[in-house]
Amino acid sequence: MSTKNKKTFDVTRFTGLLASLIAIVCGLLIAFIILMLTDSSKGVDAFLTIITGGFGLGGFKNLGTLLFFATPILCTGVAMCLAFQAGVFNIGGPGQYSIGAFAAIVTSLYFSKDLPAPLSWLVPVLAAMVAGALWALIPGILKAYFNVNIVISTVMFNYIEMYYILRWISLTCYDALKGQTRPVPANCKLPQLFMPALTKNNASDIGILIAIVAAIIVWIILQKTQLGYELKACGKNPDATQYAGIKAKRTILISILMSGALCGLGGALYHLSWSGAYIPFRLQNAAEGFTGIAVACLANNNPMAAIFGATFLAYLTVGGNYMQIFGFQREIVSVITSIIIYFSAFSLFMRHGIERALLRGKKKDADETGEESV
Amino acid sequence: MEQLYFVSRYFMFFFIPLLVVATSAMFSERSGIIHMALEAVMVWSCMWGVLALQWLDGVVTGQSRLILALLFAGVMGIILTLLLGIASINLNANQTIVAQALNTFSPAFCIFFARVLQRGSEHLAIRNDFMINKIPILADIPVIGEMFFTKIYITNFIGIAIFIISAIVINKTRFGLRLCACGENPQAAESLGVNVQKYRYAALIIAGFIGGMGGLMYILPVSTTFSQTVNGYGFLAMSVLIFGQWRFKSLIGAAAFFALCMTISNSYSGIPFLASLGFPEAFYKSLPFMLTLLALVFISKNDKAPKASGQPYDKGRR
Repeated sequence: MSTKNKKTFDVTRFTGLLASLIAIVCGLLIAFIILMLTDSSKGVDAFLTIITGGFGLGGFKNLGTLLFFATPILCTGVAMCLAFQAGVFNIGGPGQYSIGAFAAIVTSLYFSKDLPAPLSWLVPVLAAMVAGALWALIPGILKAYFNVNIVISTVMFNYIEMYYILRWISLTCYDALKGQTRPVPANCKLPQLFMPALTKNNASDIGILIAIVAAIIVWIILQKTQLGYELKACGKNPDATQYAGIKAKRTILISILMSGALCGLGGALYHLSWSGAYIPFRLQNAAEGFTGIAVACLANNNPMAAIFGATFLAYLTVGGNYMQIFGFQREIVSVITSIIIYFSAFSLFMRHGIERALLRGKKKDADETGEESV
Repeated sequence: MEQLYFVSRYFMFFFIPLLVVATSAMFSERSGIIHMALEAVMVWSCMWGVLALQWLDGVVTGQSRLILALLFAGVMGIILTLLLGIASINLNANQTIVAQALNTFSPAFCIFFARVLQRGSEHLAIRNDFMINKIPILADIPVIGEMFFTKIYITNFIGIAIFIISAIVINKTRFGLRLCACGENPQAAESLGVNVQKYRYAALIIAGFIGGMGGLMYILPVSTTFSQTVNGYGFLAMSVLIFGQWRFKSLIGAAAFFALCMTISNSYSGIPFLASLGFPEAFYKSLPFMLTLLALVFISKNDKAPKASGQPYDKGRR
């Protein structure tokens, strides 16, 4: 009996993974069709470059780049996992991410560069998390106490951020020559430790490790603590949790604050890196915030699985950066990402379908064995 | 006086598309599908509309070029909205996530496509010769004539017509009332012989067509290029619908309020009083979004959204 239970448990796990894989395959397939329709002579080469992550062109050095791209989207992805599990559709990732990045840069330029070693980069990272959380605070309050649609309020905050951040950058840390933020002082960048040796890339640092630790911590919170239980219960049915004595409003607020802090963390880790990332002086929403949604969808809202989701999407991004060679645009990666989100959205439907098919097969087996034993 | 005319013209540029796009969302939400992908539909069909304008340039002249492009934008809008429909009607997907997928897809694809077409630049040029300088007779009415009947676009009248027809269709016809039933209590509607799925598809097709036209209507008067973004306008239209509490009558006031915000935000430098206040540009640019939040605070506590909106339809549920 016990083995049978274990088997069905494995089946559901397996179907979740299968659903994500189907979503990925569909995304890649449609991207391939788009590439072929645009330019059939280079479509195949371009597509192969995307799915080999550019390793063919850039060699082993790309592992460092891959981890560099994976770091911010792992943070935003974990942020979305947490928010979605709590039933809070935080679409404000881009805003919270950019505000965090800005806070980290300003703190390092004006304050923490005079501090001793671990503090010089820890303080900007913490400042970014606080800033990200604060940027999520108002939509959180509006949702919890005024029932304002969270998607709309977070999107509004993305646009407010988009306009205001340019002003704030130009007031504090604008490099007019390059049209971007000023570089972060070297002693405020993240420690590199053994990472350059490991990835054979001089620009690698421990950003990805911090992001993975964050993912593990969030996983532990969601799986093993009372807070996590309350968050998930709230996501399933806020009214019922209210009856059960869980303060739904407080839970919504906590989940979006944590989500905002994680987005801010992503912004800090990306912009305090040795690879040299700057906030461009352009009116735009940071793509990393939206990619976080795709990561969460691929991971089925599981922070541990988000590590793989983020790595995979970063892998595609590395390849996407070579698209210009073939006369294509790297936006094709965003197209793939969005198609993956689209197909993941009905992964529940797919999973039910797969499970039903599998169980039907199993029932047949069971019937046959049953007949034999009779 | 010149000032008033200037502001009122700007006001109409924002008011009409807001009204149209909010109407599009009305169809969808009334049938029970929350339409968070308005932004995506606007960007996507606007790109196709602008491309149609370019293709038709020299082939057709005058207003018919605009009308053909509008129709084309509408048809493309249907295609994108049906993607939302298939996922949320047949596949019981989470409608917010699907909409977000489309909101990511649409600008990315449009930038990709425009850059491929033009070898590098995503800015599509619009040759705009559609402005009507004067409507005979009506333009001679003092003040109002100058405000609303000079230097206008034919889209103003199309937009108002769409709004009025939609209001009649939803509130007065059998089709419209059944549609509302699908959004309020689909199980009850089904028990009376209404095919909920069919009605929802019909609603989304209408919503896609209107929303697609709305995208082109928005970009045409205010810009000479299209850069694959509508600046959060779709979400503002969604807010108009919420602020108007899903009622056509209140929609006019709500759209007027948001259009006024947009007018201030876009034309403050031409209004000496506002320019002299000394607020930064960022303040005016983000004003519509801040005021939207404020408006939603007052209205959302007891909103009158269609009860089944956003929930996948489950025949077995009671």
